[in-house]
Amino acid sequence: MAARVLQVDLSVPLAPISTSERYAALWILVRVGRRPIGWARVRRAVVGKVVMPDMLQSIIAEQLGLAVIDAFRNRQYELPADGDASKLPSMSVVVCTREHPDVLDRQIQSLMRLDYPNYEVIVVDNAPRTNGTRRVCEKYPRVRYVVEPRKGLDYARNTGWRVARNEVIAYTDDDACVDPGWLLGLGYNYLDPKVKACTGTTYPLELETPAQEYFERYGGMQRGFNRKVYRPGTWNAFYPLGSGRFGAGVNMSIRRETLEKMGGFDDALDVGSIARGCGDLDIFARVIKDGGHLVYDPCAIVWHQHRKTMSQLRRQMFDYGWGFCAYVGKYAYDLELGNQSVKMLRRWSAVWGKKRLRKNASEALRLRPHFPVHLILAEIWGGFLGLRAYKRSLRRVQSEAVRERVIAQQDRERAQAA
Amino acid sequence: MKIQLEQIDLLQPWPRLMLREGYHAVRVLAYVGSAPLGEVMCRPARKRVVSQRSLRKRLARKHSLTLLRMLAREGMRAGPAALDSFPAEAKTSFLLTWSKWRQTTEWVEQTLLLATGLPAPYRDWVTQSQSQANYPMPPITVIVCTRDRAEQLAGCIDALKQLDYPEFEIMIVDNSSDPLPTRQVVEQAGVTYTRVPGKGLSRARNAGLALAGTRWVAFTDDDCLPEPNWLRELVRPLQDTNCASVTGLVLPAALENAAEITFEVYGGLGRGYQDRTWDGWSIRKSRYRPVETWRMGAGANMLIDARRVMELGGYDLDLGAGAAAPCSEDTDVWYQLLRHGHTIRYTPRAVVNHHHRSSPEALRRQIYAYSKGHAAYHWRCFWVHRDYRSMLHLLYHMPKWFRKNAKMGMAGQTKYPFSLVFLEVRGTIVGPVAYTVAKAKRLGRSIIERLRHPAGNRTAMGPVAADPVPTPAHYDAVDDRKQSVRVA
Repeated sequence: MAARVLQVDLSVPLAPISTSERYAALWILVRVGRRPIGWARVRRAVVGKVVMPDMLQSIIAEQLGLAVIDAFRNRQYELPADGDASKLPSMSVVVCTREHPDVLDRQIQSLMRLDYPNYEVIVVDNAPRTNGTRRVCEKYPRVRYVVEPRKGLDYARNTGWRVARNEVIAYTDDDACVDPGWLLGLGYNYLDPKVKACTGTTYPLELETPAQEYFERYGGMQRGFNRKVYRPGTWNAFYPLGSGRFGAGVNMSIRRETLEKMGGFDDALDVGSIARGCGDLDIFARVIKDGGHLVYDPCAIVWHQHRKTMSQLRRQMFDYGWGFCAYVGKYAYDLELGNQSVKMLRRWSAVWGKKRLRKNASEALRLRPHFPVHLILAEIWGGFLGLRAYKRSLRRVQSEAVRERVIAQQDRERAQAA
Repeated sequence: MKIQLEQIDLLQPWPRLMLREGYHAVRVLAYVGSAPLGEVMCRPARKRVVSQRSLRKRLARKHSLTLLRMLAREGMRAGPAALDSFPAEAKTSFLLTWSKWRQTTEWVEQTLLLATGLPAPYRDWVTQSQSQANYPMPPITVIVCTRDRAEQLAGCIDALKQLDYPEFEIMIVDNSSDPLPTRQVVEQAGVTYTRVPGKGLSRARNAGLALAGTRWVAFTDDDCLPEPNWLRELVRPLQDTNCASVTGLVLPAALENAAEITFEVYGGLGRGYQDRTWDGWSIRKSRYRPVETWRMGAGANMLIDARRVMELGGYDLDLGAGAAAPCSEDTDVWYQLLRHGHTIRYTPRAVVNHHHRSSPEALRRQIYAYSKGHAAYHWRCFWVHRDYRSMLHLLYHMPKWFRKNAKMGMAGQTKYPFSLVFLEVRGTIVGPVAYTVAKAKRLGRSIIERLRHPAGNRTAMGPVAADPVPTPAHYDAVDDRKQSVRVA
């Protein structure tokens, strides 16, 4: 049941696509130049061994006809007319990694091919146990290698922006691959000084296993094909719980000065801490709360390799639930919001949780294709267990900070004594 | 009641359409270049002039999505250069989405459907992409099975000779009771002629398939007039290597009397203006409904892979005009092709104009035949392929549909005559019985044959032994007057 993921560009002549028997379907990302306009999906049995350009055009017209006309009509494939390439901000790409040398190698290779005038690549090795990451980074002279001994993704992200030298920090993950136009897609949005953060879209790198398809069916990390600007006045009813719609941590960028002003990421959140996620949602919500504009731009594309096995996916769903509720826990103590966040959680679970669960359960009972119910239950159970995680996580982070301060003090005293 | 048929080309400035004397309405078929976009009915009330405003409104309301999809396809086919043909100031604020269909329809009405023809970039895309054909065009045998319709056949052959296609052969398979008039017509035209004695469209089709020298065989009927680009468009979907059959649009050649109009109300032979595809999945998709093979097209306009059909054993001799269940032989083959995992495609751009039955008796006979054949086909699907959904269709969905039609007929909500519903019910009951009796007879005959010639060479088809598939030698032996004239 694997599906082949590929992309076609309408701004160059189409070539025939040969397909393998292994795949049941083709997921074709249709782009016009740098801009993605939609997915055309076909069963392989319907198109035969080779998809000729003529047939490909029919398929695209049938599924994405209006979007194609729109893309042609509005010339959305071009760079913004007011954009001046010389004014593009300098960027620092930060990849936070922990013991994934092989996928990291692939990611760094894709980062070396980026089409952008002025950028640097920083790899933050988080609490390393082996020197695999260091060895990968030594192969690439342009990559700066930094070690962050404290375990936690947000520790690593904070280290990343602190050592970065450029105006805008772009974050991505080690298990992804970036598109050559990724930084350009992000960078153009910063020509507007009001824009403080920008996120992009994330597509599946491959859909080889059922788990990867299920993750895409769950919603994946895509946030649509239209550029959106989120301004401080446009909070949705679910703010800050609904900040998942702004993007995902695998593909985000923030101005360095904004990070400095806000004090960086919350160390008590995201993978590696006790609250196992949502550091990205937290920073998006804070950027908007701080008065900055956040842009979602589908032209910035990252290809993410989803979890391959079902058990990994279940684990991930559990962590999503846990992390989200930990994030809710953080805002439950927010005095500005008061009791609002509890109300919001209730509303959120009523609208999203129940609806999705009911729909999936009914689909499952009718033996239709659906998102497995056990994954949703894993997410809900994770959420239940994770409700008090933020407080614990915060306590640990604080004690860690105290311990560090004490150690630093001792070091200083020892130095003085010497 | 008479309906006037008109065509307009959206690329050209629209002509002034007048309702002629004696006609009640105009059916306007809109083309974009050579591709049909769709039809609208107009009934100008006072001045007998079809106003451009009402035409535009109707076209936009009914066909704007089709038009946009078509323009997108032509734009892509015109190549990446089409991108640059747009003026930069064409930028607009709103996005075309079907969720905002009202806004989108309005945009189509105001910017695309102009009485002066399509605006510049779109018009160029269409002309550019329709002038090029970058897909393979295999040699084709066009088979016309005819029975006692010499005058109409002459018109059909004339239309076929004007086909714009690199390599094709016209073959007339004559199934007439009196071969002389047909022979005269064919000799005048100078095309390949085969006489197949014995009544039955399936018999004629099998003979044509066996005699055709090419892998791809196009079928049309003697009462049809194909458009010049018919074959060109019919082979376009063959780029799909799984494709075993392509069907096209069948339009009425005239709607001059009640019988013809009633046939269109009954459903006609046209299957809409959207490309459609069926494959093995369409059979497995639903647990309650059989795959709607009868919606795939018509035997009057189809291209089929002779080799694959011969592998299946050819057309069923007890289905098809002239047999016990006088319809659905094409449907049956499509069903089997789908079961074998092949694809079937419908393309509305391959157009054939069909003369419907013009007398009420002929129409009644035809509809009775259709319902008999349809029911027999479902019975066969259940019997041979154990497709229980066909039985569900026969016993549950069709009675439901008849009841609804009868109810609507009584309430005067439909123009479909009440009497025809009963005719259909009768046909649906009789069809499976007649088919079973015919098969039983065939079985009995074959048993007698076997007793007479124990060592005979037989071919099994379906649950009972059938006639052997005819070979060229067989027909040469049967009809020594067979003559072949090739068209260059």
